[in-house]
Amino acid sequence: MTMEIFAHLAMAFRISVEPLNLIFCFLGVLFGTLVGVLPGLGPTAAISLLLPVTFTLTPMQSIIMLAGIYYGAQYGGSTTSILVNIPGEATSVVTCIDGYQMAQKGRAGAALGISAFGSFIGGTFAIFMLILLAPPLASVALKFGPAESAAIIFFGLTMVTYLSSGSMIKSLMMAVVGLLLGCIGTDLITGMQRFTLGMIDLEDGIGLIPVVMGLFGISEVLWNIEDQTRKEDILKSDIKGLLPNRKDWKDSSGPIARGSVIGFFLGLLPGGGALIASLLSYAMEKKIARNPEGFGKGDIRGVAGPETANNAGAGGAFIPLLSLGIPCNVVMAILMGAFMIHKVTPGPLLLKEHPQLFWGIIGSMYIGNIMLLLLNLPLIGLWVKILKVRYAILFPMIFLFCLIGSYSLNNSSFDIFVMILFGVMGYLMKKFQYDAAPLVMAFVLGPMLEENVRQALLISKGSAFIFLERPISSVFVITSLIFLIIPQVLRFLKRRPSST
Amino acid sequence: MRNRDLIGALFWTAVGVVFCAGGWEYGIFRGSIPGAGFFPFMASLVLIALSMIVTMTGLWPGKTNGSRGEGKEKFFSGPNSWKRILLALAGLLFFWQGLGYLGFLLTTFFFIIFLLRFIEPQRWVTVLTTAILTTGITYIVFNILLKVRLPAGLLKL
Repeated sequence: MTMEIFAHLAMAFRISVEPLNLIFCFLGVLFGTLVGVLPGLGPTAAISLLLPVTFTLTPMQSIIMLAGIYYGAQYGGSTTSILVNIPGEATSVVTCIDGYQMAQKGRAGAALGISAFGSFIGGTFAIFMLILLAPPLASVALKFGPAESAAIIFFGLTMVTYLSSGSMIKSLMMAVVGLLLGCIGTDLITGMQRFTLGMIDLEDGIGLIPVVMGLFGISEVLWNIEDQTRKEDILKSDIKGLLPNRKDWKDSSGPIARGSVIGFFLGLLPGGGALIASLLSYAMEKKIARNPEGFGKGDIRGVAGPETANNAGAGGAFIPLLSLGIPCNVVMAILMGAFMIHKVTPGPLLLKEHPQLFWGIIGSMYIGNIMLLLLNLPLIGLWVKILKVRYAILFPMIFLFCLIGSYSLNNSSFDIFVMILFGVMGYLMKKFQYDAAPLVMAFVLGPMLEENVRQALLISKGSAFIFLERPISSVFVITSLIFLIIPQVLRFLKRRPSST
Repeated sequence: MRNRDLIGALFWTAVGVVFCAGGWEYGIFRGSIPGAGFFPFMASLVLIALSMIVTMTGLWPGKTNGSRGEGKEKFFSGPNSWKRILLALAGLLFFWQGLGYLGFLLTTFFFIIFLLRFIEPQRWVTVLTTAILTTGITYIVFNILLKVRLPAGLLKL
């Protein structure tokens, strides 16, 4: 077993240090840090923006670069939180609390330094766990039939809606809308055209890229330009002392260790990932601290824990995608789309059919983390300069990138129209407090869910009990139902006394 | 916010009804085998049911469903916000329609000028420099380096 792991590691590093893979890994982490630094442009939008660019690359180069954007953005997000008090990324929201206070006290360097080191340690921990856990999980998943696969997808979607930020019912509605949008196009089993309105452009269904670019790129820009009271002040003083001192390390070692473990395990959960990991890590550090009064006033523990946890969470999120073929957050769903564009299906067969790709991605993630550590500290000055670019200049570029990206898919203006439509829809969804993430997740997973449900029903001759008769699928279905029903019952019970 | 919940729920109910009717038409079962309409039919029933719950919760006295704010909340954050949104959308629609006729270079050039000048107005020097640089760089990167076939249009480039 140990020898096998070392052999896999050797393969991973051999592939990832190939010059072209190194270049694309570098480009990914650099661009990822940049989008992390820039508020208003998240990894979801950035990955969808770059997805069309990767058409000309090999699957390996493409996934290495896109994955680099994701974990690179976790690093970059902390810079904006610490220097501007605006989270560059949702996952760096809590870093604002103590990070900005540290910067106000002239300790921006130490805050940036510990978040870079913490991110590196958390990211490295997640990669080693990925190496240990993904292969055995994939071999178990190989034994799954359609009922089990459908139940796991159903569970994944339930968890995404359960853990989403807003109302659970609204998130569920969005997941169902995603499933319905996934039905548009040719039915793979019967060959029937569904909901195409007689349009040739819709025969292959709605493209993932215009949908994602619209919902996350265009809508985000519309949301930002609506509000002209944006705060664009950044720290004026020089940033000194990026290397944390001995006391900083002593204070941060516990939060970093705990953040790595929490982050990794929450990253595995569908709908969990880096955001919840960082929030939970902060809450836990504050709870267990002997002297919690320092939190909120520039305590390094409030930066080290969450920044470690969000990177460990980002790494952990790769396990369900690579071993089960189930994306556990929206970025993973887009990465799954990227795999499929290159005719590679992520999941249990990936390790068997494309071992080079599987291990190459893992190796590149480790190299990428080292690159980020080396890049981030010396490039802080550059990020500060970039933060000075006004959003009024930046947003037309984001628009343009979205427009070219969706056009270049099929050289078709129809995709531009779809993107604008979903942009408006995403903007309105924000206004009406509907979360777009469950919609995209369900849109990607919908066709898989439908195929597996129909195959399972074919096997059982139409009996839905097949999902409860098989042990694995019954566990996932029952757990999902518990997660769906219990919060509603609790809400109803909570409400009753006030309404009577 | 309650009004927004109601409007949203009604909209999604309508979407659900459309997909439900479509699913029924494509056939839910063929014998004991699920047909092409099975999945959209079932999913749309769930959407309609969930929309009903949101509608009922919206009509229920007390707290609204998942809303952060209560009472009357303005739809747009500022007095001129709606103008900026409409201008941005006009710009996007211009690019969509203009790309085929004017070609990539002219459409991009005018698109950038429009956004920079009319949404959050910049000085003409900044507007023109940014428009020229952006058009040139994106043309070189996408058309020449990445070989994306961008429409030539009037300039035949």
